Amino acid sequence: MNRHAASWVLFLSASWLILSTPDGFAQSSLGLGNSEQAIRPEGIFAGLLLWIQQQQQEFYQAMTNALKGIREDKTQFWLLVGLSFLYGIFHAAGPGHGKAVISSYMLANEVTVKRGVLLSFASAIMQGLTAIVVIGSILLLLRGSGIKSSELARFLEVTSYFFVMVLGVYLIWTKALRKKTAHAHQHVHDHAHDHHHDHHHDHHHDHHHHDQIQIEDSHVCDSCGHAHMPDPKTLEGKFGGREAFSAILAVGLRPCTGAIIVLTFAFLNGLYAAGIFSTLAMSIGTAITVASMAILAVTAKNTALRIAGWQDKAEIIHRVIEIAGAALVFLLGFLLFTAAISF
Amino acid sequence: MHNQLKKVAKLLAATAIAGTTAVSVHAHPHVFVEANIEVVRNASGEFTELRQVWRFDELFSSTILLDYDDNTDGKLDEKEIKAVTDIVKESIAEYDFYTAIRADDKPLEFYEPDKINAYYEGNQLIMFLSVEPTKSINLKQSALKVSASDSSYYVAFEFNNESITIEGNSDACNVSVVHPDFDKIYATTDSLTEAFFQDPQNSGFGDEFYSWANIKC
Repeated sequence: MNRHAASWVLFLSASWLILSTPDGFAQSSLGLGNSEQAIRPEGIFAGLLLWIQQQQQEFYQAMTNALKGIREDKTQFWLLVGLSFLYGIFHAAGPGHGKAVISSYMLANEVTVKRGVLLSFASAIMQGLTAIVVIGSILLLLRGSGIKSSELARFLEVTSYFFVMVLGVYLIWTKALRKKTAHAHQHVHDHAHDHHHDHHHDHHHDHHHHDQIQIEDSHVCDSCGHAHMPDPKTLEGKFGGREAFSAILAVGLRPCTGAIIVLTFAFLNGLYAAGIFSTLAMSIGTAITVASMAILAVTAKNTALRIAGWQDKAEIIHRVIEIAGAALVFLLGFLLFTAAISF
Repeated sequence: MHNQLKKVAKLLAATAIAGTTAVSVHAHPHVFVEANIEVVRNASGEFTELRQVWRFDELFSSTILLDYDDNTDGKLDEKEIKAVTDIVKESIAEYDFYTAIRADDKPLEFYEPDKINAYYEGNQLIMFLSVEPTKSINLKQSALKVSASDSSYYVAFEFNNESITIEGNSDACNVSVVHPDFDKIYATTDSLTEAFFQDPQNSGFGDEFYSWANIKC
């Protein structure tokens, strides 16, 4: 419980710091709008970035034209949805935070591809919904109140980075510090058990608990076979639900910047359906890219474990990968958070 | 055990590098501006003023309308637009007002503009900016090149030959807009990296990534 209190204190003080900063954030060179961290392209990436910029400009232009054309020509609606979908795929293919956080989280935690895909879709769709809620509430409730959509989006963005950081700390704490002392599997089980006692899922979990023991037993029998890798279910059952939800929340709180802009234009011009469908199409596009990365991460992790062969070694590698994944989640959150508040 | 620690250390180092890269290449423009540039010279051919009109794309413009239309009348009146231009003026001051001027390929300084004017029309935010050079140069003797660009790449400027006009003197001038040659930039990547390490301050490093209007009179 102390842990919870500490994270709340940290979160509230960070929120206070962000909200009380005068002038909001002059985060872009123009001083207006929702910028992502703008760092001048240089060195070996400069040419590539400028090429991407050029492509994006044309893409953006096509989306703008489709949006503007909807009133005269209904077929433009489908063009817009298609373009938004592609925008989602390609935009996320850049170094976006969702993809990186979800993949790292997968390394630290999850083992099944199915859950990776689910996580990716849930977080990407939440990003889109956040954008819809932000612009919808500004337009319907907060217009003229002095609260700007860019500031609200900014606040959610920084909060999202902060949550990613906290999630990273939590993962490191559970994966590295706690496990280090665990000689036997027994410890891990105790941990899962403890953890779920302050929840209302005791029965459900007790059940899993038994499963785990059975699987561990079978490990002993066929350690020369193919079952060296921990069974997906053992890990999934541990504290799947709550942690996965935190990851979705941490990533999904940050509204998709492209969607914010499209939604604003669409809503101000009364094109509500176009704005919402375009945003959802972007989210699904983003989810596909994020899911591909998550699948890649899980497959790489599982392959490494399979190749590792001998059980003890596999376990060490497994732990190393998990800890590295946890560290990466923290690092991403930390870098993004500090970069975001230092502007 | 030592090996294990080494592995962890290696992984952490690798992830740190990956993480830093992820943040540093996070930039891409979300604002697109069509620029019109007017080069003004006096009767004797001296360059006296550079006037610019920036037309912001309709999507970005709508976000400004949403955020700054305090009386929710769907327009940006004088007071509301001043809030916008005040912020812009202060912010872009740190980016040389998105304006680059070179006389014979050397930077030509200019005075800070008094103010930025703007209005909102036909779904677009339109801004006006005028700067005067601190040193007088004669366009008959010096080759001038000018650019509207944002070195942070938040705003992407677009202009071509038709966007450039020369005013104030009837002498004929030759205008040609040259865009960055990405193939060439790729081909010289090695030397660029070298240049970057030899010149970490990056003085004038961005020039070849800008579009330039070359003016010869």
